[in-house]
Amino acid sequence: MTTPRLVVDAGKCTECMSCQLICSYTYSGAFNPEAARVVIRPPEIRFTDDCVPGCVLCARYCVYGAIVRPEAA
Amino acid sequence: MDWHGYAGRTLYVDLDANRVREEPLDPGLAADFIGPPGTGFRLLYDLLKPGVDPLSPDNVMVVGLGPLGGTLMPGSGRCGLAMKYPVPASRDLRKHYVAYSTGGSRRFGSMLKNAGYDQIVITGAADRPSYLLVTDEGVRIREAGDLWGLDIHQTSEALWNRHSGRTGKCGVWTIGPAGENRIPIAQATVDDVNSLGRNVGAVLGSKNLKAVVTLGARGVRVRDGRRFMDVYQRKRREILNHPRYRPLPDYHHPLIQQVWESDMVEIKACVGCLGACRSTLQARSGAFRGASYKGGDVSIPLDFGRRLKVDETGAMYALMDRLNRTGLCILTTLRMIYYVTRLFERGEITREDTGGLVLRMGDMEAYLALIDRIVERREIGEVMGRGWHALARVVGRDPGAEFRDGCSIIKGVDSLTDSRFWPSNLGPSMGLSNIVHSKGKHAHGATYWPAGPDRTRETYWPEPWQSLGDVKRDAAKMGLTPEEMERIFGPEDFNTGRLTRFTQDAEYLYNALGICDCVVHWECDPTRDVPWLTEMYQALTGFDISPREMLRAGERCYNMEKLLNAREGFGRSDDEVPEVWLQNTEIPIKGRGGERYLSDWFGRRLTGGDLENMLDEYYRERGWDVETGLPTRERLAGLGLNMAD
Repeated sequence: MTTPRLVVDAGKCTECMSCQLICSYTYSGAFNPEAARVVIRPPEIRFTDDCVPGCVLCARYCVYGAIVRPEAA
Repeated sequence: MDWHGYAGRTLYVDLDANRVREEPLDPGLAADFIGPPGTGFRLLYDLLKPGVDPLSPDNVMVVGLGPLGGTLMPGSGRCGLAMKYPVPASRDLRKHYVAYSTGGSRRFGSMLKNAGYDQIVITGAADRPSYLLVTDEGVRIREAGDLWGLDIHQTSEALWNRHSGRTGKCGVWTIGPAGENRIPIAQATVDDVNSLGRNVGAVLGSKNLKAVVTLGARGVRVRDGRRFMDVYQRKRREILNHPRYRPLPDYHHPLIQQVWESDMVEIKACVGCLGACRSTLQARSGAFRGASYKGGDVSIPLDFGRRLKVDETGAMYALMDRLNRTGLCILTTLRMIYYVTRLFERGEITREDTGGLVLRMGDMEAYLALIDRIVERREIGEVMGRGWHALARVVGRDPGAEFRDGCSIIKGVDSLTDSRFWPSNLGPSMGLSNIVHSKGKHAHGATYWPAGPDRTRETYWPEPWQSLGDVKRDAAKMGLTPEEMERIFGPEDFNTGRLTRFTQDAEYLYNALGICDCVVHWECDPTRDVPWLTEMYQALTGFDISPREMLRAGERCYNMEKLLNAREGFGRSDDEVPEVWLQNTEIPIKGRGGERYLSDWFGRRLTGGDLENMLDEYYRERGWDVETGLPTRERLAGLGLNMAD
């Protein structure tokens, strides 16, 4: 699955939740995966409607290559 | 109290009365023990009387997650569990308490905290199969009639589908048929791939509790967010820039690496972890093509395949999948299958004992039938399910004293690591910790494989891990005083007994914080750093505490657990060196590089007397009585543990 900003490879997701943790911490002020704007339920990985345009934090915190910026894909 | 890091509440579940209630987390308890399992042991000391039957409704389980759990901290899903275990820990069949901590979790721990609880205290037994649903919108004890009988993977899947969150799965801690049938060696599994833990399944089964499900969106709050992220980023950069850092496993062994690369179809990591280690392996060819098993280390099917004369790796995957699904500990059961098959081949047990089953090395059908007998509690399988000491009594042989066919047995459980095959094990604490530590046999036992710049790791085996400089640097990261460092380290040596005390305290601290003690494949372990963790804890909670006080909290947990076991009659005589290790002081193991005898970190051959000296030094460093191996009144008073007579 590809979004305009980020490239997703669900096969590489380890469900470590780092993307959800940094997302929720940044936008809700607490580590709260349920408040994240990325859904992690492999093979489903998708961004919610309230995902912040231009934000690439989830990709920056993914060390497994499951969510990457297009230029790094 | 305005909690940060902590959820600030303890959940009490009374299965007898079908009732739940919550209480505020006691700030004194949190300050003294930081988190589970120490907080659990302190509660159990008051809740339980000595001699309680682990499989009776009177046994109490306390499961929870420490303050750093559920944050971005690497490996922050390490749940702690305190309870009395059902497997006999002595030849006279006494049972003991173990501080268990899961290898990790993805959702279970994090969602427990997000549901609003630091820990759950489970008492009594439900009158029918049930599961516990813990959410931020309420806690329910639900009927589990439709789940009873399902295997662990099926149960996890069913509960994920039933209680899915907005952005991901719920957390699931569950048992399989082995736990339901109250088989003492049954295990429980968290989030489908991690053990929590060995010998835990039967206690959940005896409570008619099939699973615990967690889900919530309360969030883990941080007191000083800017500082927390600054301190976190410093360590993250250190890990990512480490020359040996890899996000995926690197086994440093061509064959093992090749099998992993060929067969790995999926890999999972715990919360925030930068090094995934839970692979799902699937056979690509052969008669067992398509067979797979979840959650394991690829060296296990290879090692046991050789021992059990199972040529196809895929066959081992099938065997291990059966164990995973039923909820039997893979290591214990495979070792028992080997031992019992050898007894049969030696003519010491017969078809009469096995219910007509003929056991032969390499016979997969016989192995699978033996597993069925364990789960169904039939014939020799019923005896195996009660643990090694029970098996020894029935067959009239001591598997812990059989150098070739037996294994390293400590307090009734086969130890995860065996110092005969890990020649440097008795160096920086791992082997000694197995002996003295309730948890040691279940895990790496104060895992302490230093990973500094002097160490080179070119093979899977730990021979090259013998740098004094690395051990010293790692010890310094525990925040020891110059006097303590001087007492432990000489110019060319260190004192294993003395060092072990501190590695154990540090390990209990890591577990209490809710973090893994072997993040990133043991390759580079910068998170084992007490001063840094103290900064993280301060920024997270707002509590003003020194690194030394943090280490003392770990020591307090360790002493608290020992107090519970002292009440059950355990002392120095139970801290036995495994017989097969003692035999290895005289009988060599033939391996790569020639014959090996039991050795210390520097490869120097040890005697039984050396091991007793290590134990003496260990008890002295703990401030315990050397004769009894128990905490002294003065030491306990020094730790503020004044409840004991």
